[in-house]
Amino acid sequence: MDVNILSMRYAKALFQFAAENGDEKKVYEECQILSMAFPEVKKLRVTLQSPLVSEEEKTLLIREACSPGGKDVSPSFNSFIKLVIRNKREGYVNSIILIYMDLYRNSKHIGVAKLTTAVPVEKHVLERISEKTRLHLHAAEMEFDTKVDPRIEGGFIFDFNDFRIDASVYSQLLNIRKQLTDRNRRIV
Amino acid sequence: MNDDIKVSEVTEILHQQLESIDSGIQVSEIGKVLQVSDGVVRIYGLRNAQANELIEFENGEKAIVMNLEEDNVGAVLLGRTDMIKEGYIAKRTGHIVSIMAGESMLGRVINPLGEPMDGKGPLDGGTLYEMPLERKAPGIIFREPVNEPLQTGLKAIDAMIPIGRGQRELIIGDRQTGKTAIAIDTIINQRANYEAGNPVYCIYVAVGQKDSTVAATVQTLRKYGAMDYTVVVSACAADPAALQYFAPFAGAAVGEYFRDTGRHALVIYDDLSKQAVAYREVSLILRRPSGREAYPGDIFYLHSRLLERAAKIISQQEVASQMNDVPPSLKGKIKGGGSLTALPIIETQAGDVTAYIPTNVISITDGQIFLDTDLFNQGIRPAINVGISVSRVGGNAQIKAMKQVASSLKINQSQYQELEAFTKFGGEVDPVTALAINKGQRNTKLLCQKQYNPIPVEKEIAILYCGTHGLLHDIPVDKVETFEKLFLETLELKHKDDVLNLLKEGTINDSVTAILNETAASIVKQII
Repeated sequence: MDVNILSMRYAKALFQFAAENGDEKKVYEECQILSMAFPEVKKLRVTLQSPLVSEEEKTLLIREACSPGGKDVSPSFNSFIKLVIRNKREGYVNSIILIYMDLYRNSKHIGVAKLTTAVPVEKHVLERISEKTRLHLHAAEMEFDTKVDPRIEGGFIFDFNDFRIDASVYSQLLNIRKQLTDRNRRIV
Repeated sequence: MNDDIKVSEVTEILHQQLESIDSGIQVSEIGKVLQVSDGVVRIYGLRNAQANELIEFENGEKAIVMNLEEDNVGAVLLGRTDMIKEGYIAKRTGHIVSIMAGESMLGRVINPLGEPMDGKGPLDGGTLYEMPLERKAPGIIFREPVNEPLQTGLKAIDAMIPIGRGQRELIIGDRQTGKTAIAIDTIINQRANYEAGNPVYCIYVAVGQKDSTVAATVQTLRKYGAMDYTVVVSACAADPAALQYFAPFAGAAVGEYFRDTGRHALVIYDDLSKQAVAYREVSLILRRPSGREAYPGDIFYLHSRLLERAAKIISQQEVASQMNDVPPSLKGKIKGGGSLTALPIIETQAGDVTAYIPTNVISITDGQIFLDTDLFNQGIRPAINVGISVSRVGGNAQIKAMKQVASSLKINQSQYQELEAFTKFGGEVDPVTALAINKGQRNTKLLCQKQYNPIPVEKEIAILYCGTHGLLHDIPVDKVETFEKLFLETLELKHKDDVLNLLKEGTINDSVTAILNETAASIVKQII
């Protein structure tokens, strides 16, 4: 079945269910943790899709990924995990939680931004950037994240919602290298 | 470093290049890689991505958007799958997949994205125009009937299955039957047009072939001086399926550049069976519903929209200049009278022309040249099966002299092939049948031609005149080749002005036929 249609249906159902139970925020936080686990733990997706792993083990695995020990998982999310595994849709969990996060952010008018710099940025600068971004995105509140990555050499990379401003020295050097090699590429 | 290179000049060049470097910062739309497998990547985000848009990953790899969904897009990778990882950021480029086409492409080997692959540096010298790979074909009012011949230099084709400029003629046959040879000979034969200042630019698209095969083809074209007016677009067997799928579209886009600027172009798709297989692969991985032989439902549309782009453009400049779907780079530069001829190639399995892809392409094209394994093994090369080969529009494009000489050749050859099959059982034959067989045998031999040896149309007409008028009746079959050689040499030496030049213009009159009869008679005497 189409991954998008399926994920959207599950995500909408989860969102409505969580809203009815009043724990949509908690589910959102759990989705955030789980969404970070997928790119970090490469084997998570493979394990979830493996027929050799039992349904109980898969449930425990997702619960463990959401909260240490798997104890504080919200009832809505717990039911969701059970449903997904029972319907053998474990392979779509990543896509479903991403869509859920989008649905939640849209309903609460939350803007997302991430600033990557080579050296730490002072707090008041971050606050100003966050406020400016919030106004620009017409958001009620902002989820502002920062990252220090010395590999970018200098400048900054600023991601907000689905957009990126890449003003890092690293990217600019790469761009210059690409343009120069494109013009001079020749096998002698 | 080479002694001839001056350091100061290098510095100056680098200085100029550094000055022209674009280091502007732009806002780009991004998405996150959700899943990557088998050359297809699913990206969450990129909400404004367009179909066929080129997207770029943070490591410089590229992909083309194929599936647009509500929250994610499916894209086919143009590089290696293992270079992309889950969580990678993908960026929109805003460019619909296109190719930069221009005169500087001639003589070069490029990939479907227009990047040179022959190690001769970037395409330079001359302006390059951005041509989209996917483009609507010219509408009815911007077209003209096919009325100008495209000489292949192969007697059998020019006489019996003539091809006109703007036509789509399918070359179909099993493996090792000489399909590519016909295409290559046709390219080589355009050398005369190039030298005469009226070039037919050729684009050879190699899909899913071995790199060594492509290298050999390029070497052959170079050897015969055909690379001066030829562009080779290659997506080899080791390239991703997406590149193989896009290669014919890239060839068509380059051809359209010549067509729309009032020139003549010939594009050869070698071959569309492999392109169909590549498209099937991409479609199945994208989870599109499959149909017959697991090909997706739009496989017919894939080939029809590609081949429909071959066209003869109307000569009236005021009409041609308003052509539909002109790319922005060509706005104001459109010239009428150009043409794009397509020679798609299809490989059949065990001569089965009723398979899915062959029947599709047969119905799309304006005729087909069917190559037969048995004929090939009998030494009849090009191994054209005259009975089921046809050209639906090329007859109107044939020059007058050729039409006069070869009008009866196709039907005679078809009859001969049937009669020959009967006589194989033995028994006596009546004199009329014997005469038809005698003539057929000699004409079959006459239509054989060595590879890489296309001959000019005037010589084709002259030699075919001898065949169709029974002038070879008394010559043993094995001496036909000697006759042809001596006959053409004699004409070249003694009757260039009064015969060959007239035939080239399409004129065949009593004095010409008298000379042809006389020359043939003298050669026959010589041989016997």
